[in-house]
Amino acid sequence: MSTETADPVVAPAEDAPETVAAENVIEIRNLTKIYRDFWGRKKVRALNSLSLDVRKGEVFGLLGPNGSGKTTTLKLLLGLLFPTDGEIRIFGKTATDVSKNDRIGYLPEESYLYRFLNAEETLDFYGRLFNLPARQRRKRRDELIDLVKLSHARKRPLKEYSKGMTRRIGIAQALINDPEVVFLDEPTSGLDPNGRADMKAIITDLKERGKTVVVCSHLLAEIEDICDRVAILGNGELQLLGSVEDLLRSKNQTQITAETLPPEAISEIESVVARYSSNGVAVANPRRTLEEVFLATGRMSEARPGRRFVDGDNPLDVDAAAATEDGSADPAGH
Amino acid sequence: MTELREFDPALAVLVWAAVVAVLTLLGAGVVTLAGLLTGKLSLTYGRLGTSIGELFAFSPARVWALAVLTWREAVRRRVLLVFVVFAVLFMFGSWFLNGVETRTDLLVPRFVQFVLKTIGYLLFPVSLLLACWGLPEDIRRRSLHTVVTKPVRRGEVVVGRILGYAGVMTFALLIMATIGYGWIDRSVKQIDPDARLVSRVPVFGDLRFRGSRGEPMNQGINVGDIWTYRSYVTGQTQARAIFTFEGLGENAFSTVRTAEGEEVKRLILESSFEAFRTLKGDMTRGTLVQYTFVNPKTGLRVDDPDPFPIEEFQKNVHFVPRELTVYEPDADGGEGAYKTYDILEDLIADEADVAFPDPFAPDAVKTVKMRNVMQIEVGTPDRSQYLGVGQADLFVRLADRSFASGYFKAVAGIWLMNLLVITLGVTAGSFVKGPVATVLLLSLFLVGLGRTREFLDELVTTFASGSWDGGGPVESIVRLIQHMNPITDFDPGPGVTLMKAVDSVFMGGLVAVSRVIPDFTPFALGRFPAEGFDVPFVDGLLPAIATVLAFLIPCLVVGHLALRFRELEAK
Repeated sequence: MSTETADPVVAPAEDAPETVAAENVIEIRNLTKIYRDFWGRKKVRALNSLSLDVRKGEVFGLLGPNGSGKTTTLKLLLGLLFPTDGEIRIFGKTATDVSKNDRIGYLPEESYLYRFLNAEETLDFYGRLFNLPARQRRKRRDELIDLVKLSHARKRPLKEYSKGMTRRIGIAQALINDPEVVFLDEPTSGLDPNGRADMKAIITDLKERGKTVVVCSHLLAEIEDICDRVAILGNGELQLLGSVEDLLRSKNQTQITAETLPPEAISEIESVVARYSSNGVAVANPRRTLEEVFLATGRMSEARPGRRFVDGDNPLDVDAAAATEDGSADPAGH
Repeated sequence: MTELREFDPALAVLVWAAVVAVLTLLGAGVVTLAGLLTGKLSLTYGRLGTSIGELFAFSPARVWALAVLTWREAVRRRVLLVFVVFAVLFMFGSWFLNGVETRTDLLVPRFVQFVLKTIGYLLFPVSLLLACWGLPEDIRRRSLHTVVTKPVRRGEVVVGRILGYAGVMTFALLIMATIGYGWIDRSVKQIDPDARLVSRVPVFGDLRFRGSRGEPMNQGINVGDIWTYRSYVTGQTQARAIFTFEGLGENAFSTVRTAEGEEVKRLILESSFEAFRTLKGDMTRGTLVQYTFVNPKTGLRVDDPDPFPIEEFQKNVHFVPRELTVYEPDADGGEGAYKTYDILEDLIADEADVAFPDPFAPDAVKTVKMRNVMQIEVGTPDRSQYLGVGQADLFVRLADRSFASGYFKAVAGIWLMNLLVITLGVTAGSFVKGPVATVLLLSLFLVGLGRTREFLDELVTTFASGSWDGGGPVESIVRLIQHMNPITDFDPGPGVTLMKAVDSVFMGGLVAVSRVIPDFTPFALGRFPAEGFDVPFVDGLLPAIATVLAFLIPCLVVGHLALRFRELEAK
């Protein structure tokens, strides 16, 4: 983990080991974005002093409710917006440095493509923007059309595509240059279950090939099993940052997983557990969903504005501790 | 007759450089101010430096890709439906054009102007709307986001758009112009099967006059016409209209076929003089025109042995052989003899100092060194008759070129104008929305074409000559307050010096701004082929090319910087 804020629960960047910093492909420091009106008057503070890093080869989830600042962050990273304050580095270059774009791919939220082109022309056009040679363009085009399963519609203009098909060609154009970092804005939006599964498979494949993927989404269940780390934003501020595995693991509960056991074995286990735990034992799956983490983060932020959770801290654990103290119900909602 | 404006390329480049320098300084001032106000001066200048550096890192392949995209976009949005309108107009156009005139020479200008104006009027709105709406729509629909997140320089988008729209416009123009050419040819042949369309190539001369007692004059006499374009020389006196032609050589003699079918070389003089009769005179013929060829270096004068009567309101074409044989009564010791002179050898001077009356000082004369020069004096031997002569009433007609030469050069004028419209439209679209860009460009067009253009030109001339009565804005206000008339001088003092200095800066800025408004008048070249002339390069096509080039580079820079400094996702 490497973040930099004034909050004591967040480790300052200066303390982060240099070897870790060298692995970062994206570094964001104190990033603030204020939207202003025509007269320069402040309209909304979309992002407030955001600091985080994205490491090479990880799938990083940028999560948050609508208006939390995640898309603003993405657009600042892509140079579509300019920061009011703070700094962004991608491969050590500023966000407005065009040369960084050689190594990135971007799937926008709505696949804003040229609807009068067909799939082949679309990929050929974007390939040309990377100055790919004709033979390589054709090869990439055919590979990607197969990858996103649009072979049957490769000659049809995009205006005749369904939303799901448009997302598929959108991801194909984002990968035309075989990028090192891929920014995906709501990648599963508009996709059917099969499409979502395909999209997840593509992201997993990218990760296996050592690519870095930044996924921006509010469909938490969709990405919890593909993200290595997530940052949850709320009201333009970082509220949580950590690995998905840590965040989803319940630290004050123990789960024993075994093949189907006979009732007497379960009874024996329960009696053993009862000796060590006054709260008894629940025979159930204790794993919580990312959505639960997300909701608990929102609750905790409301209770204590400015509170942030980073690696090792889980709002559900804090929430659970507080609930145990006052004797309320299971914090996980079970 | 076609009016030509002299074009000085060197001066044009100088004015362009000065205006660009002034505007660059103004831009730098604004950037500095903005940087200081936001406290990000170094960041702003850093980004500006990077952005300017990007201008030199354009990739032709990316520009081409963007141009092809633009072409496809326009074509697939059925822009070429403009052909349908064009076809409909031409299907029915001849209903209204034929039958009005019976003379071919009067019908041809109608046909040519109809075709060229139709093409111009159809193409202009297409170029305007495509250029003004393309980029803003691309930004609004956010399709540009997927482009600028690739390694695309923002200026490449601007150039790609310009090239793409220019391609569409060129394609449409070529098709329409070719069809139009065929239509003109067919229409003329239908009226007069023997008619031959050509592009005449004129060499015009400088005109001055000599009075009836031989005195040099800027103008002839006025016979009471309100229109002062022509002034008159009195018959059977020393009064002459003197045309000085420069740049005459072997090419001045064209091959013509005689009645016997023989091909001979002739100096072709085409004229459109007017006669003013004070008495009926010889009613069987028009007033005679007498040419006298003069070598300005040697002073040799040779009368044209073949005076001809004017046919008014017609083109008077006069063929002069290269060798003139004239009877000289004073030759051979007063016995008189026929002598032969070669126009090229004896009457055209390789180089001569020619004196002209100074238009700004009636008694002064200015001398100009000219090359391959000959003077032709025009008078009339008819007593008490007057010959009306204007600047363009006489020209040496070089070998004719094909009608296609003049026609397609005029089409090139339309092409250049639409290229400028596209360039300005795409640039405007890089920083304002489509409707605003359209209104902005329409305003520029109206200002740059109409009387406002004349006012702006007058403003520049007046300011440059320092004869601005009443001064600039500060001086005007002071005069208003002090109830001073515009020509009363101020008493010298530091306040007056300061006032004039401030006004000079303001007026200089105004002149620079007026130069930024494009001049659309050089593109109207249709009048040349309509009147049967070829389009001259230096005074016809070059000003149009220069106007486009003058805007192309600054527009590219402005468009690039506007997109670079603009938040495409700004709310």
